[in-house]
Amino acid sequence: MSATAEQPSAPAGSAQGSQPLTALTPIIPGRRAQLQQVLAVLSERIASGGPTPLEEIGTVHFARWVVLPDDQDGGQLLFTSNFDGPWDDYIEDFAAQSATSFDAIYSHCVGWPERGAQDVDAFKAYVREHEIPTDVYYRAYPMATVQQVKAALKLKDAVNDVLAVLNE
Amino acid sequence: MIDEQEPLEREDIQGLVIRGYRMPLAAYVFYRFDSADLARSWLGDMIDPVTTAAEWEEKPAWCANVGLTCVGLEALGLPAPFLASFPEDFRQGMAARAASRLGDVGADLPEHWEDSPPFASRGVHAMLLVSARKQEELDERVGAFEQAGVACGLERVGYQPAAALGPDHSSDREHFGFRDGISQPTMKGSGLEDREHGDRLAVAPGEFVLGYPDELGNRPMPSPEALGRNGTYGVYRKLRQHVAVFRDYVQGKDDGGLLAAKLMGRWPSGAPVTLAEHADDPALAADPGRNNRFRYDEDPLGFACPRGAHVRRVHPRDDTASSRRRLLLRRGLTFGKELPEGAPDDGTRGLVGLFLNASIERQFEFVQRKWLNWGQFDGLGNDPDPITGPDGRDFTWQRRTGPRRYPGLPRFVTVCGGEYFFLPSITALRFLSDPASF
Repeated sequence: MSATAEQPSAPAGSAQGSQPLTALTPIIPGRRAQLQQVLAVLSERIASGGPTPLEEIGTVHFARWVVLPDDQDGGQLLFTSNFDGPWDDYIEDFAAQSATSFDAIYSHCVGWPERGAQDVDAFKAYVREHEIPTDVYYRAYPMATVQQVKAALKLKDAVNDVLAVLNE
Repeated sequence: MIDEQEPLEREDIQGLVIRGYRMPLAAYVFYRFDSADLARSWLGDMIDPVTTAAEWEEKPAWCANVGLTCVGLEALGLPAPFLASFPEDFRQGMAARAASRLGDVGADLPEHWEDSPPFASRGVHAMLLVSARKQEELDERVGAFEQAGVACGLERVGYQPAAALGPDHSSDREHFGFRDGISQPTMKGSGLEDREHGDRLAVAPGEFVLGYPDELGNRPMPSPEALGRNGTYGVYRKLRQHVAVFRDYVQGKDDGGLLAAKLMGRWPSGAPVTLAEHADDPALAADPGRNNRFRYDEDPLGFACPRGAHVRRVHPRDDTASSRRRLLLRRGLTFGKELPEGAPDDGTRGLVGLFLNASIERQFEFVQRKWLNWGQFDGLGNDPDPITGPDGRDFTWQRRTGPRRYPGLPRFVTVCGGEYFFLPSITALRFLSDPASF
């Protein structure tokens, strides 16, 4: 667990393997339903296997958005993710490749930068402001990257195909 | 992304930012300032001789350019709020970030760097780069600049000559024998777009020149604008090439030239192995319409060009939004004499690199750390860059019949030192030299 002490805003290079990011952002009052609609569309796109920016970035293991239960019309949006670090690379890739998706979601949240994720410095500051340090972080395979996992699965299929032919 | 083209203020931008001079000789002179006032008057004296990007009517006999370190700006007395407006990468300098941000290990680390110039101890304030077509011209210019520097209390703390190889310095090859400098990114508005033969799309000028929109429409620059705009950051890095080690390694294999080409990703002629998979193709290499017209996504597994090959890492050619934010303008030249075949290596040759970018962290450092020095690049396991990486790691040559692994590569290149410089505009030189500014 020693790695958690330096997460998630530790300087790049000292963080090894996959990293956690948790961010909690207040939803603009009155925009909760709109936000849920945006998330539903994104969810559908992912479920249908369509191309998503998260896929293109190629370093994101898991990402989830959860609109937390709330009595009022605002409430909070929780984002949790596991990615191949370091942190700054991740943010930079998001800004370059997923700015539109992020804008669609976070424009319904309080304090989102005027120019959105494309304003990298403002975007970084926004994430820093809303991130919650991880207290405990467990990783079953801490040093395996998204690309390695995908390559290993592909390899397994290929080996199975070869074995199937040999056993015919 | 940027619809309206903002014209580049060429007469205010240092010339090498927009174009390589293609001069075969150069000298890098490194200085420490003694007195802030005198050093500022030296910068004032440099306003006139510094070569700008203004169009040439005819190519000059020499060019001069100036860079300043953060320590140098401090020594000039630049007020703290202005200093603080520079990004952290530049303020900390290369030595402090070599291990953490560049991914350098072992012999590349600052504790092993050359003593002169004193980069490891941050003892350099300024860099003067003089380029010339002839040796006499270079010597004369450097001599004249030296006198002017001495008069302003500048202490010379380092001197690095560089020269193209071959008879009359006419070669475009580096010490390992490969043609160098074939591919460069192109800036929108630089006037060089047409000459690039469709190699790659031109990118927003703000990726290389401060104060212009970058690929995301941002224009970060240090303040005040008179200091930041039209400037850029120049990363100086001196690399020693262990030519005998490289020759022994590639010639010791039965496939000789083929392995060397697979390590590099190009043949000695410059022909890309992506297009010339089995043998060198000098005709292809000589054709500027073809020698850069290829992508790696047609060879995703690395059968033609191994995924870990040097040129495939420094320029992945995938044209993704992320990659377009990691480009570098490369201005470099070889140093030292060619090593005759079979001669003992005295370790006095290599490459002086000057890499220009608008963000050292996002561009140069990212490329070094994630593309060159990272063993897991593109799904590889323990394969940092086979040419510039540390020793004892692997190189994998993907082949249709199965991968061939070359474990425990020796070290072919060692970092001798480096530093981050700010290349100010003409306006900024005026600002820095004017006693009324601060």
